[in-house]
Amino acid sequence: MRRKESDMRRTARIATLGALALALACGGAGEEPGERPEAEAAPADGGMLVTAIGADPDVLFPPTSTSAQSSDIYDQIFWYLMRSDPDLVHHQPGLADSFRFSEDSLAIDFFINPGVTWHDGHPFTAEDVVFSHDVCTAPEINFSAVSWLQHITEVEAVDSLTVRFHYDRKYMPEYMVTDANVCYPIPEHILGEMSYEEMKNSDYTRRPVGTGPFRFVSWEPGQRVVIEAYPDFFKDRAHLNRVTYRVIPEPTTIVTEVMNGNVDLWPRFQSSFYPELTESPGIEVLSEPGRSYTYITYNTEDPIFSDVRVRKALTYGLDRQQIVDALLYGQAKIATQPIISIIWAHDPEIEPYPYDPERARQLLEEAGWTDADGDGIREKDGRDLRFELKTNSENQLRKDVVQIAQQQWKEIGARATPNTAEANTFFEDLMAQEYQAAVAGWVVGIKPDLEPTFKTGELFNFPAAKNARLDSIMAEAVLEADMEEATELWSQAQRIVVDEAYYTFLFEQNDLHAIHERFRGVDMTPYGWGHYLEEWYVPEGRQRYDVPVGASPFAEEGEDVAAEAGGVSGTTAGATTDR
Amino acid sequence: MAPHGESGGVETAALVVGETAPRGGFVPSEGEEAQPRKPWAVALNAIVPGLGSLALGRRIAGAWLLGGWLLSIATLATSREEISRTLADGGVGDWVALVTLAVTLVGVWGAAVWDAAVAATRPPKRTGVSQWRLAARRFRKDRLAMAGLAIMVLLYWITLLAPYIAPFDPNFQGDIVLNRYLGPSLEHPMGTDKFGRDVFSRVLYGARISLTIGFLAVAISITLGSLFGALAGYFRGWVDTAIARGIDMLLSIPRLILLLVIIAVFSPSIWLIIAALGLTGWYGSARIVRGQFLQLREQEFVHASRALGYSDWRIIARHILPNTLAPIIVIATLNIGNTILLEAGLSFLGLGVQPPTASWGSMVNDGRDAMITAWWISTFPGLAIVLTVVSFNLLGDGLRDALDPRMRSG
Amino acid sequence: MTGYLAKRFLQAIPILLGASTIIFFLMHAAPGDPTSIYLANPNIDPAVVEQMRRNLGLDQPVHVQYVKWLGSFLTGDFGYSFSQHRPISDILKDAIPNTLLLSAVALTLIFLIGVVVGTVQAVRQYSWMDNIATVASFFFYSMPSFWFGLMLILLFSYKMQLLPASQMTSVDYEFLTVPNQWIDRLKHLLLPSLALGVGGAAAVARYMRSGMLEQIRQDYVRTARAKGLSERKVIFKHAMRNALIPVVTLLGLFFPFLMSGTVLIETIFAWPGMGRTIVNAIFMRDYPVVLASAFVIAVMVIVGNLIADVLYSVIDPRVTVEEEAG
Repeated sequence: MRRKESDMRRTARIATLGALALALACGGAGEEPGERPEAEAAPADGGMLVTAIGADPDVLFPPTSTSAQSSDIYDQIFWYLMRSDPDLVHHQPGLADSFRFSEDSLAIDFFINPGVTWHDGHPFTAEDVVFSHDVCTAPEINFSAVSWLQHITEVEAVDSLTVRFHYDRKYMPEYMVTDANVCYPIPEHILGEMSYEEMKNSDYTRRPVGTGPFRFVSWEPGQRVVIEAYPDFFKDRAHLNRVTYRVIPEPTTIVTEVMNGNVDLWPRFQSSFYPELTESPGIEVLSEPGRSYTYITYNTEDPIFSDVRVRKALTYGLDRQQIVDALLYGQAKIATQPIISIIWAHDPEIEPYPYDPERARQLLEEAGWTDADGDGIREKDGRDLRFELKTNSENQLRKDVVQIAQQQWKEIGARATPNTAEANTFFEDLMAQEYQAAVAGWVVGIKPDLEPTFKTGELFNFPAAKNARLDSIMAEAVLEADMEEATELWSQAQRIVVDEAYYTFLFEQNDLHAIHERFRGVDMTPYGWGHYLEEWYVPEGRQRYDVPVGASPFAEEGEDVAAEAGGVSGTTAGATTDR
Repeated sequence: MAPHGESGGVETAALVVGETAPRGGFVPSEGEEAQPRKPWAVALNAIVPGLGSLALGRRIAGAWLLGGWLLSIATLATSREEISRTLADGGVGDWVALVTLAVTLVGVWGAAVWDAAVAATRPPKRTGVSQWRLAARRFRKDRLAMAGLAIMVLLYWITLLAPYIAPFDPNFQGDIVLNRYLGPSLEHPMGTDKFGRDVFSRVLYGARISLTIGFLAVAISITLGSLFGALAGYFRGWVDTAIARGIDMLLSIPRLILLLVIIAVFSPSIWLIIAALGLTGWYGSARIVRGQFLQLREQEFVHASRALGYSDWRIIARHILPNTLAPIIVIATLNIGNTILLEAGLSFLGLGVQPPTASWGSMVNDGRDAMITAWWISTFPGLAIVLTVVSFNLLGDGLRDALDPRMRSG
Repeated sequence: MTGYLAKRFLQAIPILLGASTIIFFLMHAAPGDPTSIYLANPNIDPAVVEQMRRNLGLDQPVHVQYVKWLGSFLTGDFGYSFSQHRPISDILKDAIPNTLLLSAVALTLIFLIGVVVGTVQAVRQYSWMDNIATVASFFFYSMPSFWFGLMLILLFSYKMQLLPASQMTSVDYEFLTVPNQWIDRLKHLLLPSLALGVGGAAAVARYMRSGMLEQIRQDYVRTARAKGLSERKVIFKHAMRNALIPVVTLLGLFFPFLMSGTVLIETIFAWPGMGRTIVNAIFMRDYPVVLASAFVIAVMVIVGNLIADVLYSVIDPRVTVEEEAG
């Protein structure tokens, strides 16, 4: 988290978070304070931000979209009732100014700001929220985060500006609010008449009308998506007139365009470009704690890895700091546990396994793996300590990790044979436990939840962990309403995972963003780089493009615009496999 | 490309130069004098292979012998450590290298002595030579094609000797942060990559993968091409139509796209890549073989064989196929270059050979993310590709000109 | 001529059908399907994925899917893209013109550069120009096109900052004046078409050189010279015209070559055409898009061949299309 948050936000967070905020601050890989003199200029309207995305969005319809590129864009076009705080727990006003729990804590009322309008001028009402909830929960839509809505029994419009969410049980109040804000409000007056099938295939999904600070302008497939400031936004309008998302698949081309000034922002760039981008004049590299971690998973059903000593030995035998330094240029921290450091339930007291090849060798000896024939490879019962280390071929970083691990494990007498597969095949193999060891990664959700990945019998329990105690602690932790109690429970669960060494935790990678230095007010959060995009601006006189905000593109055709539905809302969804 | 300096047309002195082992019945024509053997040249060749031949005016043979000898000696001189390692506990690769080196040295010496003692004493020949020998003569005068051949031979030699020539283990990383992205220097002639590995060593080892892929894939495609071409050309009728339509179908899907589908559908392994390249590369050779068969099947020796009651398969395999060898060799040579290029293209899309195996294509691809700060990582393997493909194309063109002047491309 | 064209089109039908059938069964041999992506997401209930598979008809046996696909395909319904969530005909409508534009410019460059260089080489045979061009054409012919494309970007975009490295237009294209819009488009076309065409240009140069050399040696050229025609006229009016004939037949051959090239070049230069569409679709396992794109590309290849044949008959009066058609 960087320093340029508004004071309001900062105060709110410090007041409510206490120790947690400290942890967050430590997690932030920093820039020197004062690098950009705040006094330079007052925020000015106008100008354009040009950003690069690696692939075309799928659709710009949150309920059915599943691509990260899409959520980068529709997060600007749509807004939630309450916006997530960068701490990923608390909330700030969005389309609603405030909310109130009922006496029995089983319902929440959200109070919508009366000034909110859809981009076609229609007023935004509580009925839209009810409609959106119906769409998101419709089976035909296949909304991917639908499990987050499981405790919401009903959504009701109390009056046109008050909407009430009913729950079937009490749990952490912050997360009750979060769950009410998983499904973006979509316009009933445009989509209400359609069947779900029509909605999914409608023109609306590629020409969305939202309530956010930016409105949709155009989408040339494979080329660019353009959005512009919505002048009638109910809060201060976005400073930038336009944001253009250029679709450029080839990283070398993007880096050239960034250095040429044809692209202003390259979000989440590959770490291998870190040195050249940090050295480029006029370009600032921002390093923000990300939402993912990378690990090596071991199949405990494999004869080699059923022994916890072998799993531990390989962890001790891997210099994770070298991986961080060599591949990530230090822009990461060594991961220690499945709940990453920006989530409140992270336990800072869990220490990473140190790099200790001596200890690794000792553990392998204890486990019966010895190198009797002196060929540099240990063996046991006539079998060499040889195994396949898999990863998916699309991910260069993971392939690089594999190569380093292979070399380092040679030193302790273990031979890993790299094996790469295309992502679909790779994940299917992991789910079916048809692997020995694999380098993979998780993009974690904003709620701590280990059940899908470590509970006995779960599909994503890659290591095939079967630990009854772990299962029961996790079951308890998920339902715990009190944050402190939950923290303690998650901590216990994580210690089991770490002691069992199901994973070798590698690193939590920072998100790296390269941005042209003329932009001000840039405040990126783990929630997404554009979470506060409406506050970005270019000082007067430094604006590069003279692009006006046009007349409303929806003024006349608003009635014709139609819609589609089903997908992961990229910003709030839980763990997704990171490709 | 035209064999340079051929426009002259009179072939006299050039014919004497550098004759290689004769195959088949060569009968000296009447009236030709054998040259006297020159013991000093034999001795000179026995000491420094090639020098004697050069002194005799046999420039091409001399250059080949001397070059081969110098390279082998240089390799031997710098590989003392590797040889003792091989003898102590060498892997297959080490032994292959040692054997190759020994064979090269013995071969060069033997050939040098033979060249001065036997070949140089042969009388010049003007008549009564086979078609192959005529082609060999034409080929030897094509300087570009000879250069291509030299590079190709050198490349294959390097692939066998890689463990001895490479200064480093191609996968050795050491302290990554200290050793990575070093520019070209004396220690690392082509710099180091992001893991601090020596690019030069990797390029040498990469030659193995790239050339093996090219060679095996083309072997598959030529076999298939000859088979289908022979069937279509020999049996004609519906077989021909079916094969021709099949080829038309496959030809209408651009090869790279077909490859992408095949390789993306199954996981990319080196064997799949070889198979896919082989399976998608045979149409051209099939068409050429078919054309040859259509011509040859009407020739008298085929009619004669049929009259003798030989089976169709025997006629195809023993009588016609050998006569189509010349165009097959040409197209195979040209295809190897093309195959290496395609493999590089697949690597670019992430569907090439997967690490730690590294072909030149995948090395170019790996270096892409540092193209601006560390140009050497992808530039040198890229140049290796260009050099190799150029040499195969030169060789192929030269062979075509030499084997079949009618196919001349100019 | 019309009869010939009709016949050729009829012949093309089974070819196209066969080609798409090959791709269909290849794609279906793959482990995993478009829904595996969702399976890898712990938030999505596997039952939901199963429902999706049913909706997409993926739970049926391959031969049933094939018949269904063929049926809708024959009625002109290309279907719906899983990954882009829109009708495939829309996707094709966007991508085809872009690819045609890029290929057409590349083809023009191929012939322009190839014919000029080849002619100069032949006229000045064995001069230093000829030798350099010979070596250069081998070099360019043997270069991986994506590597050349990256080098072009590094040189002209990164180092010299002369030309844009990606896409078809600048971000402020709509705000430019009309002449500037044209200049903008041309600037964006230059590098990708060069990268796409350079190998072909080298090949054409080689053919052109040999063709010209052959023609120059012919009797009619000698006669023309003897008649006192200027060397320029002899070369350009007589020899070149005849030398062009075999080169034109290459046109048809270049089409598949260009289509393969677009796969790589469109990715590097972020050009929104067929090549990129098919690559993305292959990676997304979007079968219907792969099939439809492969079909369209096959059509382009076949039409390209046809055009070449027709052109050939136009240029060379000795050839009539009817006799070729057999």
